Amino acid sequence: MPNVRTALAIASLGIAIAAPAQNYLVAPSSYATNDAPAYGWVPGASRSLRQQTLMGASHLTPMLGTAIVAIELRRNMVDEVYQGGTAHLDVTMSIAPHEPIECSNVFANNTGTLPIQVFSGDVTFPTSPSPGNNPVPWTTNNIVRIPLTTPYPYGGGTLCIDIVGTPIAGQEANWWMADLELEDIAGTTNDLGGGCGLYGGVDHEWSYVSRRSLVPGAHARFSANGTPLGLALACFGTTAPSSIPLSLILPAAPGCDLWLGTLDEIVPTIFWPPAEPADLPFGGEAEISFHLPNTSSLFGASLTTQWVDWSQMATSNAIEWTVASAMPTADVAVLDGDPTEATGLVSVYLAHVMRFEYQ
Amino acid sequence: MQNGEGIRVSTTAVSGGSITVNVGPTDDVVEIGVLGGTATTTHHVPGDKDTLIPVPSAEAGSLLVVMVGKGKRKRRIVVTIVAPTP
Repeated sequence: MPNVRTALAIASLGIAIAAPAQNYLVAPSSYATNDAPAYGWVPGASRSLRQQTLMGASHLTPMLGTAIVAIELRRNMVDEVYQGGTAHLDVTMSIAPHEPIECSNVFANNTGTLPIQVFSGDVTFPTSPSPGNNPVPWTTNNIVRIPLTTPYPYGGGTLCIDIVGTPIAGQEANWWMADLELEDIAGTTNDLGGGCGLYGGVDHEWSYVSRRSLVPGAHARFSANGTPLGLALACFGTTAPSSIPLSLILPAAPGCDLWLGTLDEIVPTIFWPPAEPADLPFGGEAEISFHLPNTSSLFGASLTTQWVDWSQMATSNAIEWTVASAMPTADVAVLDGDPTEATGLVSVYLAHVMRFEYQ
Repeated sequence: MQNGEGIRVSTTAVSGGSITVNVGPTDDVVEIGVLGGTATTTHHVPGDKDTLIPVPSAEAGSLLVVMVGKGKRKRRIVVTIVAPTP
């Protein structure tokens, strides 16, 4: 008959066998102990937000064949206290049908065929003391931890972490910014002028091109302000050697100058009135985007975009834009949007730094 | 400072001076305009966490609108413009 000491030894061995080893993986691993270059908001901290993170398989190899049991986000390193709060999160995980660089602006297109809801509940944003200018450790006061109620088996591929966050009234963590990897590459733009009409101030600069979106694999974004509910035409073509007055071809006012040498594409849309009525004098808002293929053949490709506000028969400032001569290699992406909408804003060059606990 | 919804900025800004807007690079553009006018200017968000934006010359007491995002992702914060110190 075993004595008490032997029995205890056997019992503790049983406990050791029953409790699987806990392992951690930080992705991207280069930020396991270092601060990442940027910060980003977290769904539900202060606003309803849906955020899909695509984490490439290259970051996740050590977790192959294991089960993910928790996800953690670490605060950004900055010399200030972060006030805490609570948010409600719904988290679904799946294996995306493509690599992060192919991230779609449609949430459903990034979701795999077997999505699993791994968590639904309230999550604490801890009040986090200032770390000074020192790296932030993954300790309780510095992390938002999402303990998965259903462990997620990872068998390889691009992990899609789909988080819908809802703030809880009175418990918002208004400035709790999580560490964010950013691969800072961008295209270039050159404002050619030629704008006229009511908007954009004295220089009539009422159109804009997002430089960071001018990257192969990204969704290039173009925006403009114009007559609320009026027809907006985004015109694409090559740059003309010199401008020509719009009045030569359309009944337009003096000062409206076309900078398009060719007219390769016209994309119609509407200048939607701003949600805040006080912003109406700035004009309605039009935005279009399209996917730039993930190919080096686009390096340095250039076009010019000029908008027409049809209601005023006015031209925007023309912008000559050039695609970056580099491709994102971070193997991450984020689709960020309103939970009530089917589409969102794609970034194929950034993502929250995440620590996975797995067994 | 006033903050929330992933954007942070001071409550006042000096006319003709500059203002720092904190916003993550998920939104890579900050747009500002003086309330009541038709002019807005757009500014690229750098990767180093702070965006320094010139403040238009406007009368003290005017309101500067700082905007990020489009459509339902849009957020705005209003800043009071103050006169420069003599």
